[in-house]
Amino acid sequence: MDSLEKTFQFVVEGHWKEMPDLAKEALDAGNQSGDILKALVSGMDTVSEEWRVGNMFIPEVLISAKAMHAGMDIIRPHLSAADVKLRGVVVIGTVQGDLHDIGKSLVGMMMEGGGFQVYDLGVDVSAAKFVEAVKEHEPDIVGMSSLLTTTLPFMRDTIRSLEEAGLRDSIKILIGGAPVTPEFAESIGADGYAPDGATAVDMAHELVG
Amino acid sequence: MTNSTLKPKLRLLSDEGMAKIHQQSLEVLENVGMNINHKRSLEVLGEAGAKMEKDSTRVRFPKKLVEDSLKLVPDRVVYGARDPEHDLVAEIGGDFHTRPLTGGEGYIDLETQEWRKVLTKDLVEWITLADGLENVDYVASIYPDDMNLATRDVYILRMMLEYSVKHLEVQPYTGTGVRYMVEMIKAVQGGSDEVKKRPLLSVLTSALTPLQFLPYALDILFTVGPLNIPIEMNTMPIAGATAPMSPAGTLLLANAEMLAGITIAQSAFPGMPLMYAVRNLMLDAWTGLSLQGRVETSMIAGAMAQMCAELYKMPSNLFGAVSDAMVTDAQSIMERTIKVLLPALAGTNVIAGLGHMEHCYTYDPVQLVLDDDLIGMVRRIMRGIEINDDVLGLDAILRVGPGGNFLTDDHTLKYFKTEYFTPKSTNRWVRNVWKSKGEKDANELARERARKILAEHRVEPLDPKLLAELDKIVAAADKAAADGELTHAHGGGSIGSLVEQYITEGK
Ligand code: B12
Repeated sequence: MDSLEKTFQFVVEGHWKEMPDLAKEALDAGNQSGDILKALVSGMDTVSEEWRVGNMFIPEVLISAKAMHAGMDIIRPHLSAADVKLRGVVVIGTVQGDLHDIGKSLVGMMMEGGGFQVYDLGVDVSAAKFVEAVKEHEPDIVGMSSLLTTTLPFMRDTIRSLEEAGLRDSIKILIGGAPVTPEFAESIGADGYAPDGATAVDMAHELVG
Repeated sequence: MTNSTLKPKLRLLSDEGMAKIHQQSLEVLENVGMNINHKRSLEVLGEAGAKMEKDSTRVRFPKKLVEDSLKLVPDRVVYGARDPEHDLVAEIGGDFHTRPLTGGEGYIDLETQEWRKVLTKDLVEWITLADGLENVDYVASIYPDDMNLATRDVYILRMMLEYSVKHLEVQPYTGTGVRYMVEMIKAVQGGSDEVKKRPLLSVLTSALTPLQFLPYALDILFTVGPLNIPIEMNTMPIAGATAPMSPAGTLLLANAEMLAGITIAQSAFPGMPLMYAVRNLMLDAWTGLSLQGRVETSMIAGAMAQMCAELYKMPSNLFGAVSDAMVTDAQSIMERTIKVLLPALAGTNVIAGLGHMEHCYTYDPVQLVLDDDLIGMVRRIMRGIEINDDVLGLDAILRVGPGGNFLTDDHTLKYFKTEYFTPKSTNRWVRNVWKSKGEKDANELARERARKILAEHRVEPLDPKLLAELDKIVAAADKAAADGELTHAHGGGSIGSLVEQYITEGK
């Protein structure tokens, strides 16, 4: 098996500890960084597919994502600017007043697994903090999470603040969390809604298309 | 009951197992500690001997402090009710009590049977059912979606006070809102002294698992503490996400968080009534949902009930009649039956969550009515098989002898009602009769029973002057919310500024 095939396999099997050495080995063997990247990403594609049909489980998916990132960290200095951006940049956070962390983190990790570069702003993120983060990281997608009906309105506030800051047109907005519905997403002018991590990744791919 | 009657009891942990979980909980609190972002709690804990670090909210708890705090927790909690007939006592070794779910946002419409958001018009229906069902011992409310969301926890208390005469529980959404709730029960009970004796209200507050407490949660505790209002000390560990994956690991982390909550409460208000109220979940490894109906979650609840009853001698308040099912189907009944039985048999004091569907998101009034029967059955189990000379019926057997029957024996007449629990929403017909009666299943029978309760059940009305006063308190809360005083999560001030404030003041 050559080192590219091995890279693919290490992602699928989640060997994140061994991945840095393998990635170095692959570079030393003369592989193009872009090809190593492709092996990493296609490993994750396989993982997502296996998970969708019920052959793999979320803890395994997340470990595979970790393995992919361990490889990315090694090859990043060798990648072209276009490659580094991977499939896109995502800024994600739970809105102001809301402390529910898990759904948002899970979606963030799944997006990382889907090849996005993700900046997780944490919980209780105010509209101003979202605006700041968009200025800093220039994302393609802003993800917002809310689990409380009482904090849903902050999603609208955040979109308004992004508009006022003149940033709305440069990004796509994806929202989620149990009380969120597609109708609500539309009513506040978000670009998409997803009920779970897998759909969120699909939507994100579609949005950056 | 005579001594020869055994109260059924289930143990899910050995003595060594319990001791190990307790010891390791103490280790967690002493070595890792908790992040506690609340000025008054930090002051109180500092005073009590907890270890703090400069420029940090991390608190480490010496083992002795935790053990001493545990000794202060009362083994008995009194719940007052508008009608004193409904006063309850939760105590070690006593019978368990029940309450419905709070916090969910979906409602299965009683008539259309379709899912929709909770509406204000559902409040009277839900509260009347809970008040009218005999195996629902105290009342907790649904949270409507079509009203001022900032104060709906305050408003639902006002509605429960009007439509129920049982003890009431609220899960507050903000720290500041609780002040208005306290004002309301003071108005109804005629002042603090009466509240302290038999509080009409108990409230839930949560740790932010893993190992944190946020200001809003402790604001709730500090607001109700001086009035002896019982706290349901809650944490919601999700095995595999916010807690270790295994049942044992989830148990350990949740227990450590409970001991921390107990230590804060007892350091601030020695002897404060408090219930161990974990609602543990697990992360479904495929869907990523946090579930409550999986059988291991029930085993954990049973183990907690046992630890509270045997080791901590403090009341526990656990889930309960809950399920991950979407509708009142076979899954719902399988899951909730086990979920009620395990903690009940292991000695819990409160079974919460009646009417709960879809991992905490949906209330179903039909399920609430069915749960009334389920609880009735489990209560019967808990009474045990009474053994004494009379109930054994040796005399009756002698009277009837070989080949006779017991149909008209005195013993039958005496015991056919008292020895048997009769559920109200089950079919007890032969098929032909069942067909002629419209082929109704248990769900349909429960729906009919709900309609009947709604048509007939009325409570003693509140004095109109008192109602006006309650409305004034709600209006004051609405105004405070409009002025920005009822912040969503943090009971005023951002987390960051609270830490700074505390640290610059030293300690
Ligand atoms: C765990 C939990 C807590 C923990 C949170 C711990 C933590 N570190 O996150 C604690 C105990 C702190 C907590 C507190 C409270 N909670 Co809470 N909590 C839950 C619980 C049980 C699980 C949430 C969870 O993590 N689910 C697992 C994750 C994986 O699922 P998820 O969040 O839904 O995310 C998925 C999707 O929604 C989607 N998604 C999520 N975010 C995003 C973002 C994007 C961009 C996309 C595309 C998709 C997406 O994808 C995710 C993965 O599939 C839910 C009920 C439940 N069963 O879900 C109640 C629940 C959400 N809480 C509730 C309430 C009321 C509260 C409190 C007000 C109660 C209180 N007084 O203590 C406080 C509020 C605190 C605050 N200000 O935020 C209610 C909400 C009702 C409502 N709609 O308003 C619920 C429904 C429970 C209930 N019935 O009471 N809670």
